[in-house]
Amino acid sequence: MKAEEVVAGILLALLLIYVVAINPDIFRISRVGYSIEFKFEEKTYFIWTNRWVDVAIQAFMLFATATALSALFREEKVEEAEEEVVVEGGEG
Amino acid sequence: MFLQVFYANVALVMILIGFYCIASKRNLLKIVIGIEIITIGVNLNILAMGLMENSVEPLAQEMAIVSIAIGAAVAAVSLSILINVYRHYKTLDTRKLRRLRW
Amino acid sequence: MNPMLPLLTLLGGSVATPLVGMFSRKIRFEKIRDAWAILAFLVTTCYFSYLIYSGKLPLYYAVKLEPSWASIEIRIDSFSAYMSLIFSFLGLMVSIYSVGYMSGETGLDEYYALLLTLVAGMIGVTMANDLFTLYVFWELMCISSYTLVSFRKHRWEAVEAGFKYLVMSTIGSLIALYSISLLYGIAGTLNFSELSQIISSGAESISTSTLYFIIAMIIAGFGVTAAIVPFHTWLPDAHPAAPSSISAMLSGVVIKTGAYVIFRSLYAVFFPTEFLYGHILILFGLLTMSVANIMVILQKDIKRFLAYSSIANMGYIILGLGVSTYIAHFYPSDIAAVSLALLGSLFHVLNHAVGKGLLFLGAGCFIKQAKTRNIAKLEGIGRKMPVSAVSFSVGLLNLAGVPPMSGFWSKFFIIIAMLSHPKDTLLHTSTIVFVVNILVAAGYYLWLLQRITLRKPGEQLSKIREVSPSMVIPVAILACICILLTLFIAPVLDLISGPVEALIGYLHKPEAIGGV
Repeated sequence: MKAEEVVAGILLALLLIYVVAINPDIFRISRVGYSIEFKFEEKTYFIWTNRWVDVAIQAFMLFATATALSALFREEKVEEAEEEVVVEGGEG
Repeated sequence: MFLQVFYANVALVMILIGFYCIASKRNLLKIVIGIEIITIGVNLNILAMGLMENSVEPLAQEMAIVSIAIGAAVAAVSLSILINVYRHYKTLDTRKLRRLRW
Repeated sequence: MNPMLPLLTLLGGSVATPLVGMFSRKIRFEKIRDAWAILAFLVTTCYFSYLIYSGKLPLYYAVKLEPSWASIEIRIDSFSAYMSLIFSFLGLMVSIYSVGYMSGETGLDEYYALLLTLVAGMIGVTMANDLFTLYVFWELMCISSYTLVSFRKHRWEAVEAGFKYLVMSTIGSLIALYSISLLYGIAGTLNFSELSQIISSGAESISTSTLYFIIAMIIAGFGVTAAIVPFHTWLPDAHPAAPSSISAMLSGVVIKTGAYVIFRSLYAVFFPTEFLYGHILILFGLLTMSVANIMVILQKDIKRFLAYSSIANMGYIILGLGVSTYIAHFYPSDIAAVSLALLGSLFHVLNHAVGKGLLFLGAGCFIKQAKTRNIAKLEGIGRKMPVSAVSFSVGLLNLAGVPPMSGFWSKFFIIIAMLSHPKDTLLHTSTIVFVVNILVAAGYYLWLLQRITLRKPGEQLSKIREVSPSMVIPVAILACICILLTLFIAPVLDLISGPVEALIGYLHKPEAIGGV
């Protein structure tokens, strides 16, 4: 067993104990607010009329992702002198 | 009601598996896989929370759809940074590249 | 005034940036692209200044279709307008600065497009009145900032820090999304005003431990970006690795967005009068500032130094929030102290955004000329670069809290609010820790000031000149704003009283702010 696995296992066990022993209610959430009567399958325009901002921003987010990928895979020409970096504890 | 509890449990277990994966693995690719497992768990939880008799509430479906796209975008960015890491070090082992301490 | 206008400007500008970049390369005048980004930020800044000046807040854009509580609602109240003004103004400064600082790097089309989407995401976070919309804007901001941190991908430091930032921040967002989904399971809606009504009216039938679990996950999830101490470890790596302009954005405004979401969701959904989390926030704030202030002293790298001091300043902001919620829970009649703590906290958001933006941009000037980040090798560089150095000193004095400067007043308000209940042991002891922290912070800021500006420059700095005007101008403007904030402190506090009233208003008339 590696050290990290032991630590991760302990953390997981603590989380599980918390959820099961102290706060089991998150499994039994009952709705106290609203519930929609209609089915999404019958009125699919819901996503375009009521929640169009989410979908529009999602489109812009995909644009940002595409830009990000093109920035991360761009061709690098310049080889500048690097700023000197102070690393505590030495290299490696 | 039973189905909702079942799916919520499965979602929580998936999230915990993802956390275990991130905390214990030393390969960057496996860390990305852990993030994806958590994303899937959260999406499942959203759908479980919106479960009706024989359908899922529209708001929950919309949230899950958008959230899946966000997860894909994050995965794309993380994998492309990972490729850049690989170009520098020729390895994906976190022990070899931990010049910045976690 | 359509509330979608700033978003449309920034996102449309961002989509058009590659096209403008292509056009500007065709006619061999690449500054057009830079001017394009500056123009978009200028329009947004003017929009928000006009909005605050005209006093027509809050503004709504709401879809009122069949299940109206499952619909989009965009709402600009004075708190959103205040934060958005800071975000877009710092974006404007950074885009002017980038003209000089980023010249000579490749991929500038992508750089400006991502800078625009970054600010659009932050402004959207402040405008969203629905937790899931907020989350979508949040991810737009996060994806832009991951890429901008690892923008100099030919350096090992940038890609490593970017990956670390990505992993930690994504886990934080996913934890927050999990809590949002649980909240949806309880209430069936995610609109802030509907949520607060359901949670305060139906509190008996909801298990309290679940609600506290949700509160804890919101604080932890968004606290990763707000750099609260157990979750802060990405910040001291990401800030130095990013280009200095992006460090200024990250430290000045991105981490403030995390603080904004915690402020908003705690005040708008989980009323501090009903839920007790103030003492936890106070402890987190004290832990954050103490750990960060100890770490600052050990740093030899100027940007790591500034990054750790950003964590300390986030500690002050979180402490102010904690004090206000704590007082609102235990002494609900003492509105004056609650608003004073909030006032100090929000004023410190402004001071730190301006001051730390100025410090990172100024440090970027020094690094650009001296090609090093080692404080020992930068000693005395101020004598060679007078304008940058004077501005840098103003920023340092402001954040050190030297009495006439505005950075002093924001901390002072928090302390006064903490002393308003002298019999309370927690508030009393935390005041002592807070004051000790402030004194330590003042000490190291003045130490840095002395080393940068007063020492004699060494041999290796003999050929240093002042940087180009496009880098000096934003630094000088930010320094002027630091001084103006000090001189005209009364109108500034008037401006901030709007956001404070918006937050306090949630506690007293939750049905009146529904916006219907």
